[in-house]
Amino acid sequence: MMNVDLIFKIGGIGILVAVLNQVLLRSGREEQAMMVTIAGIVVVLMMVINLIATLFDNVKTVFQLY
Amino acid sequence: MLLLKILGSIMIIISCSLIGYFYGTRYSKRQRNLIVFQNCISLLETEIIYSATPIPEALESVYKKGNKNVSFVFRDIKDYLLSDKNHSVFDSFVYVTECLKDKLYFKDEDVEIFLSLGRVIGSSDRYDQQKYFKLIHTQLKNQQIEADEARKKNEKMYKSLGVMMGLAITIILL
Repeated sequence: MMNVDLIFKIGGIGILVAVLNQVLLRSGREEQAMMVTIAGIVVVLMMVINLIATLFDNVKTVFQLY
Repeated sequence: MLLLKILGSIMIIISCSLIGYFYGTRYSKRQRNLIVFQNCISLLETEIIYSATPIPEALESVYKKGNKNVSFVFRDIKDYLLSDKNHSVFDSFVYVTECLKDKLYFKDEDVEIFLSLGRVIGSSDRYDQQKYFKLIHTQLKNQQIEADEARKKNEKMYKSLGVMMGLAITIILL
C-alpha cells in the first residue's frame, strides 16, 4: 500500500514551480526564477528523503549488507 | 477535520492573493497619482505665474480645481502654513512628505522633486519661478515614465506571485 498523496503533492509543487518560473522569467528576473526552481527542488527533496532512506535500508536488508 | 483543512487552505490562499494584489496595485497607483500630481502642479503654475495669487489662496484653488484624491495635499500645505506664523513654505512642504509617501505611494525621488519646488516657491520673482516650474515638469515627466516602466514590469508579477505563493504554502502544508 503506497502513499499516493505524496505523489500528488509533489506533482502540485512541480506545476506551481513551473508557472512561477515562467512568471518571473517574463518580468525579466532570471535570478529569482533560478532561486524558485532550486527552492522547489529542495522542498521536494525534503519530502522524499525519508522514503529514500527507507529504500536504501530495505536494499541493504535484502542483500544482507550489514 | 477535512472541513477545517479546506477552510484553512482557502484562508491562506485568499490572504496571500490579497497581499500580492495590494503590493501590485502600489505601482499603478503611484503612476496614476504622478499624472494627476503633474496636473496639480500645472494649476499651481497658472495661479502663480499668470494670476499672481498669494500662495495660500493659490494652494486652496489648486485643491478645489484638482482631483481631490491628490490635491488634498495642497490643502494640507495651506492649513499648516496658516496655522502658525513661524511656519515657512518649505516647512509646510516638508510637513506633507510622509503623507505623500503613505497615501500617494510616492518614492523618495518624487518627494524630493516636490520639496525642491517648496524651496523656491514664493521666494523669487515670477520669471524665475516659471523656470523652476518648467524644470519640475520635466523631472516629474521622467519620474512618470520610470513609474510606467516599473508598473509594466512588476504589477502583474506581484499579483500572480501572491496567488502562487498561497497555493504553494497550502500544498506544502496539506
